[in-house]
Amino acid sequence: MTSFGLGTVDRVIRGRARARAPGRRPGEPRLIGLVYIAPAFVLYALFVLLPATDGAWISLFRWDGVTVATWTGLGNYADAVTDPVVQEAFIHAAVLILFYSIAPVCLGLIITAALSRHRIRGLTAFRTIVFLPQIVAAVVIGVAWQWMYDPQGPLNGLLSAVGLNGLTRAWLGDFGLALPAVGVIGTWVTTGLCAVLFIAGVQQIPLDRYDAARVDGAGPVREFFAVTLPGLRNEIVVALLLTVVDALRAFDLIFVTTKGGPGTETYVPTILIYKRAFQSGQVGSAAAIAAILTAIVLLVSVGIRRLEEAREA
Amino acid sequence: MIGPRRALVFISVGALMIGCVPGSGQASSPPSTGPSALASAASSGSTGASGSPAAAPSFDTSTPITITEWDTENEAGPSAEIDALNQQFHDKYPNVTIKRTSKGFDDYVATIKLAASAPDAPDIYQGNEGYSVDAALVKAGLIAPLDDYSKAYGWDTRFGSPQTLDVLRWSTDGTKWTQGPLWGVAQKAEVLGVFYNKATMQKLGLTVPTTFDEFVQTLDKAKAGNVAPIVVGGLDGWPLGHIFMMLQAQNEDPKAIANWTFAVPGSTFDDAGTQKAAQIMADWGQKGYFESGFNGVTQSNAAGRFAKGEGLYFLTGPWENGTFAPLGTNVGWFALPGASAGAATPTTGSLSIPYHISSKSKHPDVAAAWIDFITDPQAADIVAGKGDLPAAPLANPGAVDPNSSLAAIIQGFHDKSSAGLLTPYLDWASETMGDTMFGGLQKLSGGKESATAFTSEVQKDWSKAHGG
Repeated sequence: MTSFGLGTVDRVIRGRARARAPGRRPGEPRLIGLVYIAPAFVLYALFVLLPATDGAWISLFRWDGVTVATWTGLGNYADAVTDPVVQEAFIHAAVLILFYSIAPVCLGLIITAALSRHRIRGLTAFRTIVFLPQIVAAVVIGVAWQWMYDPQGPLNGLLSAVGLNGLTRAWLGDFGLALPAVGVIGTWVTTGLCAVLFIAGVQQIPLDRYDAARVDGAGPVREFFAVTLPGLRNEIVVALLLTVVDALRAFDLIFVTTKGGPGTETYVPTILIYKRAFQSGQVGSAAAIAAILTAIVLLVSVGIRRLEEAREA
Repeated sequence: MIGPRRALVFISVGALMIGCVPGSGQASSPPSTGPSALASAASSGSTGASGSPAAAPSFDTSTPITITEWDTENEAGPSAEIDALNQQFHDKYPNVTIKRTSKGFDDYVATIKLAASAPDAPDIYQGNEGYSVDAALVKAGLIAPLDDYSKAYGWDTRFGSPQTLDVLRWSTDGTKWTQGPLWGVAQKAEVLGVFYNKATMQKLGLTVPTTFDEFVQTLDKAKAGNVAPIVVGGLDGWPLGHIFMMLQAQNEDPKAIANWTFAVPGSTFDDAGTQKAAQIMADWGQKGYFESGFNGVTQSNAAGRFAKGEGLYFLTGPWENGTFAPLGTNVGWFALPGASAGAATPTTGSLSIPYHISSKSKHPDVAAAWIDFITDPQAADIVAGKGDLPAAPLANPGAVDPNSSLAAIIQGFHDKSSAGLLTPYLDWASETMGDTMFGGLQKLSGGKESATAFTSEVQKDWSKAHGG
């Protein structure tokens, strides 16, 4: 995981190009570059761009996946936009951003702030532990949490043991709490990623800034906002980018834990895509929702990148 | 597990392979001519066998032949049944080798249509009753009609009344269900009923209820005795669906249920009988007849706990019979009783997932012989030997312990099927019905929706699919 902002990398590369090719105007592309990217580009085109284009093409048809499709133009899009189930799914995805993205970034910053004032022994071990959820397969995580959330599972057991019987419930079957319950799993998974990014970033903040802050009489809170937070802005943008995209395309955890239930309480766009493409023979509609989701993910990514560039400027 | 990104790629690659307009790859064999051309080929192939049931097949028994077969019998017991039968088939016809692929149900349903439309489609594969799989396969001309084989091998009379096979009949354009040619045959059958824990029932001082009112009284007694009356995994949705179907089967006219499921115009879900069943469902949820927190429990967890002795009843189909094996002789089964003792009470049931022959198969006669082989009474003995409910009657009924739950299930299925008392699965009614109905039942039993709101919501889905 890079802790450089992409802008930094850009500048380094441009700088080198200028140094090595003095006869060339600065920044002018060299054709040989195309050869360098060709292998990766061919694979990317074959397995990402082409299928994506085709998916967009399919979204213009009504198709059951087997028989000849019928052209419907933007009909699938019109249906998707007006379908309350689809709207609900996108709202749920927005709620998941709180759990997959905002909460982990905040928690990651708290962890980092707690660790950044002192060089702590066993930091590597700690980093490994908070990062662990990232490397466990999502299905395994889903099954484990499903068990913890079971009405007779450890979570309710713990609540009863400390006398909070009133709070015990069927977490994944509770109409108000199923979505937050799934969201908390996401928080648990992505907090480690954010913390590791931020801890690595903090180590690159020159120690003299902390010394200066302390000499000026800054306490831990002041120091965090004056030194740590500004020093981490690139890492925060990277973390937001990764986790927001994770939230929008969340599928595996929900598929394993609730399949969208109870009722439609945990429907998200990807669950609808799956159901329509593979269960109910509405492949065109599934492709349309996928296209909308892709557009939103791209827009959000660009928006977050803008955030970074605006700050750098 | 298919992630969303990969799903997209998957769909797209599928479309790439078959041309510009999705699905146009089949245009060379349009539904109207494909199957009928095949029907004549099939009949000429099996003319030698026509008329005499279970006659020897007419295929070449000397040249080596490989048949590819796809199924979703991937759990230990059922998988062993198919392996054993494949071996026996190979022993009988040494020139025939069966190449088998087996997948879990969710995976299977997600991939079978693509596999079926590929040029090297399996010769034999399982479909699934309903619009999203079987109807699509028929409409695309991907499977062959089996009526000639059915006559030759006597399939039409193998499974009790000939109507039992109606769920595998479709018009050749895949729009009219239960009418037209026969497209598949099933090895297993399903009948929804009540598993009960004999020891718990005895401990509570109860006897097997013979009327619906008595059944409800046992639920009250179990609750009073701090035993979960009905263990069920509502998180999965469909388990609630199956309970509701049993309730509807005895509160609604079975003919009306069939008409509604098979899309007879003018049918409705939103009427008194079905609303009454929905109200019972809501009451059961509110009165605590379902185990506490049932909407947060998966069916496999629920079944696992019932198998360990928890709860009094488990309302489901015969596929869980194997799961309950740890209860030994303590597990019993009965069909949900009706208003009066001994009355002919309908329940939900049908043939299980069917086997089809690919219209692209070069060896349809061999495929038909295989289907005959795995669905005959001798095969039924093997199926029952693993604790499953075979569609055909047993060759040797004495082999099943008469006190076992399996014996009760086999008896129950044949009683109901021969008396025409089986109603179809409601989620067959439209491609989206499973989601609509099961999600609705979670709301209904969780006290989030009224019985009439549920029935009208379901009817809305039906009208969207079938008009009216």
